[in-house]
Amino acid sequence: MSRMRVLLVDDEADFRALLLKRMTHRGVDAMAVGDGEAALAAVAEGHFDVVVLDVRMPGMDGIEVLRRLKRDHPDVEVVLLTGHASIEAARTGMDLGAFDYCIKPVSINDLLVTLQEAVARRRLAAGAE
Amino acid sequence: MARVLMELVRSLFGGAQGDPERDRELVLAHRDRCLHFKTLLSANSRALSAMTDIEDALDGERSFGMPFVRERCTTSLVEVHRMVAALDGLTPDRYRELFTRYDLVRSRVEKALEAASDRSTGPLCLPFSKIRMSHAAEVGGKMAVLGEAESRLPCRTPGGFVVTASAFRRFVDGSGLGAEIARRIQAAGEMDAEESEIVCRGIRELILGAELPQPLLTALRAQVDALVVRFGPGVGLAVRSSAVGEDAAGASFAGQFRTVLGVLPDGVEGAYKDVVAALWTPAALAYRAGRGLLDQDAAMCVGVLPMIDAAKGGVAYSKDPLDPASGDVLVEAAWGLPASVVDGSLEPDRFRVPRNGDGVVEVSPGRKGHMVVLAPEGGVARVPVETGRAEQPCLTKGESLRVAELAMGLERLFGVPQDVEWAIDASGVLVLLQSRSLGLMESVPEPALLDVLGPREEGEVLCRGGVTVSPGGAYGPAHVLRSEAEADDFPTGGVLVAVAPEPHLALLLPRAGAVVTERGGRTGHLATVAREMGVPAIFGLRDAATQLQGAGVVTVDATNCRVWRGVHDIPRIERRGPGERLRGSPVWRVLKQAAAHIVPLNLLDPDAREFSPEGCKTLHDITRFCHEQAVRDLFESGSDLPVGASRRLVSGTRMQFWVVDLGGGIAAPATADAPAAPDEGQAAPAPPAPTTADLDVERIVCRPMRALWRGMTSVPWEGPPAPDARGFLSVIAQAASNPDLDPARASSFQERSFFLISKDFCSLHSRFGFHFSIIEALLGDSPAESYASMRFKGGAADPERRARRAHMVGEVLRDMGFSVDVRRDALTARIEGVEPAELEARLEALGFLSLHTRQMDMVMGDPVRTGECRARLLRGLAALPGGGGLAAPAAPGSSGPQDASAPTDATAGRTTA
Repeated sequence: MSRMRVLLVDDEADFRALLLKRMTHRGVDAMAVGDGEAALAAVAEGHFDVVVLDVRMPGMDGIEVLRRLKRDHPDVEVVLLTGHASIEAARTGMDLGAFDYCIKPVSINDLLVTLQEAVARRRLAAGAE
Repeated sequence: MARVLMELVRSLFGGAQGDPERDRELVLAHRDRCLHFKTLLSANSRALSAMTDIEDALDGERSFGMPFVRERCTTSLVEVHRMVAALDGLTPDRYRELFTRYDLVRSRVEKALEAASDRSTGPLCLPFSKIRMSHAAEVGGKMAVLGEAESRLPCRTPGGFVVTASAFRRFVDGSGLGAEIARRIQAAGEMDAEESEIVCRGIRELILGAELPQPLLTALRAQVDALVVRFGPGVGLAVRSSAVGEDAAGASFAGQFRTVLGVLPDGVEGAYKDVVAALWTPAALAYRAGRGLLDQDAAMCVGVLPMIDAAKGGVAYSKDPLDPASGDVLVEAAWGLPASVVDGSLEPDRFRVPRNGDGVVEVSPGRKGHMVVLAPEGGVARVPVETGRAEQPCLTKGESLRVAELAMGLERLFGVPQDVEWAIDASGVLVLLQSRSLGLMESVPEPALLDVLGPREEGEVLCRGGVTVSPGGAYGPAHVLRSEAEADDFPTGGVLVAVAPEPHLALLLPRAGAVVTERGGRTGHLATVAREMGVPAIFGLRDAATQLQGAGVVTVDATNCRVWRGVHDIPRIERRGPGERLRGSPVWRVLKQAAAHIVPLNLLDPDAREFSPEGCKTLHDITRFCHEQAVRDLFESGSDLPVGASRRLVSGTRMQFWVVDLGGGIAAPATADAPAAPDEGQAAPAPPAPTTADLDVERIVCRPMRALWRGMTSVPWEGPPAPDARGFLSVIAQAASNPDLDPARASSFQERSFFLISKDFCSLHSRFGFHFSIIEALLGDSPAESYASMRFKGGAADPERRARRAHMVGEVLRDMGFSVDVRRDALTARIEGVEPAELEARLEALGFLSLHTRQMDMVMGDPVRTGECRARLLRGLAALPGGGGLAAPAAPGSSGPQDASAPTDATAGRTTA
């Protein structure tokens, strides 16, 4: 088992920078990208445990990124994090296999708890295969 | 994943009895169910936590804004949906009706969140000649006052016009700006000063870059042209904000005013946007948050007024703010525009004018080395004053009397003392520039805390002195802020301690229970905001930061300028939660309506006929129903599995604890030692086929559970409040079934205490009577992947005692390096990033605390008993195999048993000696 690696995907540079700052501050091995294509490329190259994914982004939206991630890398857990409190998006996301749907603002503590739960679940589920 | 595999296995092998493939399939099905169950529990915990936050917010226990309301309500919806889906995974298609009920409740919550707002449309611009007080909603209080004063008093105002609130909405809503701003603020959530500045700057840039809608441009230009016709093309204009959104008297709107002086006709459009953008500054956001104002209701009206070529100007108070009883009017004046007096850049002349008008004016000449004048090219300029005039009073006695008369006239007109800005132009005409109600320090005598507690507790006072900036009392963890960066960690409900009352601290006030600073007095930005928000505050309390460093929970009695150690009853001083001031505000009302479909619990009795999907009226009902059915499903033997998914723990005797293995948490029955578990990625061996519903504790190989269990069992119960002297294990065995302790119906599966385990993960859900706790831990190979958390809530005693217990346990955990959040009787503690061995010691401590703190609330009637309880806990913790984590380096000042009688609780030492 290695240190949890997290990929942040958000088109908003300020938010991305803030979250990355807070994660790094809390000792998480995190990296951030600004759009869906970059996210898919990063996951294909790096070994990420969890992807924190914005739902609404220009270009490929978060739901499409989620669809492709779950198709190509089913072992990577995805936590949706969005400023839009939409139940429909939440339901679609969960149906597609997202671990959780978090609404901004999210405290860094709560987000870390969610990420750790996602990793724990991933490990438990991996044991079943 | 497991389900897919299982189906594949089934299709290939047909699932014959005794087939090893069939066994594996059953194991996979078991694990699949466990994962659903785990999801359901985690969603349950989050949903209830969101609901508790909502309740706390409505009760005034925390401050909040619309981002909080939307986020907590939507989180409740999302997590309850996860529960409904997980229950459907556990019991496929059995409760389809739940989805329908869920959708119904959801639509009600969503409707409540669409708060209705006033969107009436009025004229885009209004000239001052038409403005009266009744236009306040369109032109803002400040401009309405000017219009009203000119029409009712013999006084002059500069004239000009106001760009209305309707125009603002047209600008902001029409262009989609508003939606984008709302999105950015929602996304940012609770911000520290730096983040707030970044977000606000982005929003202001957005506004400055936006185009004004055509109808607004047309109306604006027509009004400016009229001024040019009257005053000439070179007319200098003052463009000033006038905010709407608050009807209460005394609202200062601190921090969201902006005035651009000396604007030429061409520059009005730009200056308008500039002033509008001032609604989005960190101070303005904090102000609205503190008063529960809806951002969507915030509107900026903007006055455009010809500048007065002032020979002299200044301010006037219709009553002395520091001595309102004297009845004197205070006038402060300097040469040129009043700006130099307002910004405090020089020492103005001061005139004290008695109200009765007997003509005796007390004059204290100031030093007016410079003056602010209109610059010929637009804008204003600061120029030196020739030496002779600098110290010569700038008003004649007659002029000072006229200014005082104007101030008194305004006070009579508006019924409250006024803070007036005025100028006298070159031809000697007195012009009213602005008037607003004057915030006075009300001297309300309140009973001393000392009278209540008696002299006995005097020794507990940590510090005293300073001045009451905002009266009242509150308790919470003392948090000393020595740099702006530390603001990030400031806990909600904490006591904010700082050296100087710096203005940026105002951003924390919505979260602060009380404020204590070493320097400063009753005036200044932070003092004003603290009073306005009703946050108790003591300023100028010498050495407070040193005295309160690491003091834990303290009680601030701001009325009497004292800070006490620990939690004290403040029975005769109204104890105000940090969000009390929000009660009845627009944001509060939106939350109240949404909460009606979220928080109430109607499904109380699992045996009642209404305990069904159809009986679910709120999200809480659905949560309760899902949880009950899921636990029932897991505890009753599943028909397609060898045994039920849970097994009862045996340690010599049968315990009132059940264990659910998610995989890898239990060793095979024959082997005493745990087999080495496989690494991730390799095929896991099937867990031992369960043959019995009982499980010996020795077979547990889950590391975090073993640590918890050690903590629960290795220290005996230390006398009262244990019910009797039976062996300790029997106490555990009895706890959950003793009808005196367990008021819940025996049939409710929600009342079961159980461990959910794997090799390195454990969560313990336990309930003893009204005392409910969840401990969760992941114990990996390195600090980065390990954590432990505890949530606990409830108790059988009254709320004050339960809160006292939560704070006491919180302090103990904080000393072990946990980050702790205590709200009323609910505690959340979390630790991460420590070495696995240290974490094990802390898990022992959590196990110990989960048992030994129950019922303790009942005896925590006063600080003395609280100290005894604390000492008892510390003794027990020190006796744990790992020392309870107290000896670890992360816990400065707390080490081992001597702490039990340490002077942290003077009273404890006294009674136990």
